[in-house]
Amino acid sequence: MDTLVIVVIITALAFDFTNGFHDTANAMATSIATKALRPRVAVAISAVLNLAGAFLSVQVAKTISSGLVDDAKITPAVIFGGLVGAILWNLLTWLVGLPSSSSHALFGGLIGATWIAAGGDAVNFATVVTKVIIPAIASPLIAGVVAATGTFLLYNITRRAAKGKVRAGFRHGQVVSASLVSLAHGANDAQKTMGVITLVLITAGVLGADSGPPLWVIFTSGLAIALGTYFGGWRIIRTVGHRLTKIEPQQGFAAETSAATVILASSNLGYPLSTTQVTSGAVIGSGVGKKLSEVKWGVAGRIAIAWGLTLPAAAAIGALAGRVAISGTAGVIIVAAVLVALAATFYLLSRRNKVDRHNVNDEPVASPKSKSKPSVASRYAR
Amino acid sequence: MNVPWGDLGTVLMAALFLGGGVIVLYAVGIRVLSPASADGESAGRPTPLRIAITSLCFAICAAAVGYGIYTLL
Repeated sequence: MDTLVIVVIITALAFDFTNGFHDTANAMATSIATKALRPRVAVAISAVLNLAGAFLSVQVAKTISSGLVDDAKITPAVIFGGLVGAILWNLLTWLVGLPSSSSHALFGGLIGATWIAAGGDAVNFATVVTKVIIPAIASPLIAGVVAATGTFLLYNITRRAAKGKVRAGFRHGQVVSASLVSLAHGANDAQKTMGVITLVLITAGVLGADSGPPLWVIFTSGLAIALGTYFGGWRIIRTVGHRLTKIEPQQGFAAETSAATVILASSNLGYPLSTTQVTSGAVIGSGVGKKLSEVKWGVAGRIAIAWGLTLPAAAAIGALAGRVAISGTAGVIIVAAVLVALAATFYLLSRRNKVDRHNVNDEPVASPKSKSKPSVASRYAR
Repeated sequence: MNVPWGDLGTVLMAALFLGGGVIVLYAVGIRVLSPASADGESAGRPTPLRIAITSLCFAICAAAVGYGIYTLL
């Protein structure tokens, strides 16, 4: 097997890993915030269900770009550049604790790298609008409306019930609905990496045209996203679970049930929605449904800005990485070295304001030192 | 450019009725199972009828979850 193919496969699995830990919050942030599950148990359940989800279907894996770019003009070097764009954007948004869409990051990276390698004709901008931009606006709104309506009804129905039993009941329900989101996430997102690897293997002649993903590709993709999920994107979990709105078990149940329904309904219609945007919209909706003023609109606004920036930013990074990578082996080595160096830098920066399973539910306390000179990560994560 | 507004509307309506339906059914189940006294504390054990109603609500919710998993296949 060509060295470049191996490099792209490893990079695709690295993206899958970042996708896992970046999106742990989608399913489990509310369960962790309401203490329905202990943090480690929550990420373990989510990891297992993501792995199981990867084996449920390979329909999405048949196309990695959903018609956004001309697949025939994609080469392993272009895919490599696109993956680098997606990984770096995922890591940057993780560092600042913003729940951006991993799928949009992947699409953006691929669009940028393809554009720079094959020209603007290779990008289907009409499809970008209909399959990415409009859903990006619609999905959080739909999830928000459903969650707000559900939360409002739920609180009214249970207003005269025994409070302790209500909280306990919704904690149990929340675990089930969050688990369904995890399963759906594994089924949808792991397939994107399977598709990337499968396409690379086809272009390299290892697999025949129109081949589906081999078992080892399904397993490694599922394992990578599961490991990433278990690693836990604690910074984003804290944002979704605590900083958007104060979540009670009733709201967590309504948010996760709404998110699961929207994700499954849209998947059934073949309409791709971002699980991250759906979940964040549902959490905001659950705050609106209980009490409008409970939503921290400043945080919601910052998240919305990150959503808007994801596609162009990942595209820009992907274009730059792709431009260097298509120049030859030296270019690929340079891009890989820069990726590793930046990933290490982001990791070290995250250590200065560490968020993990031990403090994910703590309210942030600003020390005098951090008040006078906040770190980049803490400034944006507030 | 062909924007599938119809699909988006279908997603909204399906999510509102199915998602909202599950939320309401589960809430009704919890409400029936958790009779409260005037101070909001538990008013003792639920009657068999309440348990039966709750079981029905929860069974429908469980079926909805099962259907959700089925749609993933």
